[in-house]
Amino acid sequence: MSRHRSVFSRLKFKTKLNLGLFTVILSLGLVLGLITTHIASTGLIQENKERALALASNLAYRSEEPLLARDFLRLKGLVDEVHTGNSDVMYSFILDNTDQVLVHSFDQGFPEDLLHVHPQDTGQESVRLVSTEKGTLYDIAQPIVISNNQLGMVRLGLHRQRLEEMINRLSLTIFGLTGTITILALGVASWFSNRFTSRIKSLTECATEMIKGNLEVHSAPELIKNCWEITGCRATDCPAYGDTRRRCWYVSGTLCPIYHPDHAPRNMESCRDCPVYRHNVGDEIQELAEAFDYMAMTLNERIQELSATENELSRQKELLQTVLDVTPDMIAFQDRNLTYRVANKAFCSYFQLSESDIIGKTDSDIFSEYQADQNYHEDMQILQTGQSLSKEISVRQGHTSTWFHIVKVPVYDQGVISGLLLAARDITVIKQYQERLIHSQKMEDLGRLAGGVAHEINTPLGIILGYVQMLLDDVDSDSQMAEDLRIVEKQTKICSSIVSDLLGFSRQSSTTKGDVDIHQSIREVISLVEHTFSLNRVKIVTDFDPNIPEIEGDKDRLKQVWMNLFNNAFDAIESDGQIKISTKLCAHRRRVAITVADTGSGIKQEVLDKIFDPFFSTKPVGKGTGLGLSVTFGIIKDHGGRINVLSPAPKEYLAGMETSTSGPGTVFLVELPLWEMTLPDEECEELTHTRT
Amino acid sequence: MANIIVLDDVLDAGVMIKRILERKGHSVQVFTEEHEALEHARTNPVHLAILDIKLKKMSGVDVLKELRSVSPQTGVLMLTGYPTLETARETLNLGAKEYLVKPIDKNELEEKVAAVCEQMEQS
Repeated sequence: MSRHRSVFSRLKFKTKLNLGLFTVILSLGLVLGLITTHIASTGLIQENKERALALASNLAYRSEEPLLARDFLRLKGLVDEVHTGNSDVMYSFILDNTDQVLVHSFDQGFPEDLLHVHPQDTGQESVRLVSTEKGTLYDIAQPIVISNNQLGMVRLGLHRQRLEEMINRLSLTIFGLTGTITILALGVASWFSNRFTSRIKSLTECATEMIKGNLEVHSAPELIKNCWEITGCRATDCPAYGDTRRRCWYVSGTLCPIYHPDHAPRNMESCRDCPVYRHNVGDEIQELAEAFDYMAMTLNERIQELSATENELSRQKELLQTVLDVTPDMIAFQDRNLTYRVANKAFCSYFQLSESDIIGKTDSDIFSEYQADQNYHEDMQILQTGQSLSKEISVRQGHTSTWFHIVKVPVYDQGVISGLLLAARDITVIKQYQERLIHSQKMEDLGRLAGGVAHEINTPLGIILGYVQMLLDDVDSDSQMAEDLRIVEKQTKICSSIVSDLLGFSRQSSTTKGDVDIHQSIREVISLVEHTFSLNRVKIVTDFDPNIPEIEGDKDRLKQVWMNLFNNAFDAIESDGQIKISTKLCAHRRRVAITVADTGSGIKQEVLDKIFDPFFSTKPVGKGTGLGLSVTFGIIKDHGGRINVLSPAPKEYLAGMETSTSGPGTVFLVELPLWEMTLPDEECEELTHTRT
Repeated sequence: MANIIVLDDVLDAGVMIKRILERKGHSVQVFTEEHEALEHARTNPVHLAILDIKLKKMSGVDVLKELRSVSPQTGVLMLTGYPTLETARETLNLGAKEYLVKPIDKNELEEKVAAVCEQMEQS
């Protein structure tokens, strides 16, 4: 059943419509034909019977007299007359009251069977349908009565064939007519359904076009007259003006006076009486097509809006990505499962991974197991508590360590934590400055302390020295007493010199500044130590920049600096080696750089940071006070300069020296500002490892 | 020989200078209080004053200024444990003959004092 239904539902609407109409008209024609035929044939038969009865009674009437007169000739004449005068009368005969055949119209003897067609004589007329070998016929019996005496009986055989022919002809006509009307109706119906379905078909085509993506369809017919043509409107600002695609009642915000300003499209109550509406309104299919067009247009507009929004979104996304990638900070976003969703370029390049290697991965895919575990606990805590984290970490790679300031903040989406954002900034440089500042502060404090101590000791030391010297005057200079006092005097003087160095370091001693020729001051010191050094086969090489001008400074104290540096270099070499002293005018003529490089044993990394601290010494006890470099540091700083150290010495500082004399070497880099200049924060390009 | 006053907040330091200079035949008075030393200079002829910069109430520079007004003929020798360029320049401008730094060597002290005395006698 359902299969039949599906077959039916698969049929074209046009076919269905035609089939329905055909069925209805055909059945109507058939029923009408059958009824008409029935009524017509019944009427015909009835009429025939009455005619036959009239013939029979006529014959009976006319037979009375000859019957009474026994004039059989006339009777025969009457019978034949009926038979020949009416082509449908097949036979006729007359019986007397004893049922004896008096006359008959048969040519070949009387068929006896006919006598028993009617039941017992009732004296009434009767009609019987008799079937003979010559076809069906009506047999009519009409008694001949005179004064209530039945004289005989007239019998008449009426052919039914002619009647039937007549009925058939009638039926044929009726059915033929019905058929013609049916065909005509079908034609009309087909034309109508064709028109109907062709409009639906055009709608379907439009829909198919829309599915394909073409929204510029137009399924409703063009208007013959548009609204502005009907009303003679000149409002070119009106959104409906010039719009041939949409019906004005679909356009919102038209300036039409009939139209209510806050009337929304499709609310057409106010349009019902509008002449434009009445002129342009169509049937349901046209309305459907118009609505369809309106839908396509609206859809098109929406899609264009969507695509514009999409473009804007993708532009925004690109912009965001650009911003993220340009940022030197490492930025990454992890979702609630700690899976990486966003990672910027800096982040990727730090881990030397491509973006696709990070996106969708977790910490355990990127970091070591320990680090990943640590991160996991940290991240989970942020996700659970919603408290952001800020920390500074040091990452060691080889022998350089990098400092990062890491900030992890929870990201909220509609009040719920949706993930966390990580931002890491390389703060190595800031850290270095910080360390330098701390160190500088430390040196300052140490200087103050040392200065305080030195002052306190200075006075008693002076008194001791004075009394010792007085006592020395009192005693015999050859005595044991004088010898002992001289030792006391010597040691007191050593103390005095330490105190003086401490005061120098703390910059609390007097300075006398003037023009200093750096090269001359260096040469003077070299001439002092050259001989001593040469005894241990230590050679001094110089490489002076002739462009260096005089600088402001305390010549004696600067000479002390050179002396300290040369002595340190000499101590590091011990014997067989070279000391190279170079000077250079630095970039933008703002400072002078003096480097003292040696081929000595170098300075161990772990003590490199401490060598400028007061009383720090690597020399055996009694050999050095540990104040030499502190004083040097103090003097340089007093001159507004900087002193740095590199060990092992980079190759470029040892250039031109005999490398056979081995040792990692050390290089001290001194920067001094020129007259009226302050030292810029950044280092002279060749000075890398900095200390202030 | 010369009448000398020594002003130092530490008595022992002053006494030591007194002992050294007395051996050279000078008459030396030691003070630790600024006003006592100034009072002495006002009432007695003083040839030479040895002043410390760091004192109890006043600075050596102030004492020097005062002394120049109360006893302009007195020669002044500054002796300090806190040498600075400013005080050195200032005191020398105010007429101090010498600016010495502690701890001072006995021989240096004797020489400087002798030199100042000689200078005073000549003038």
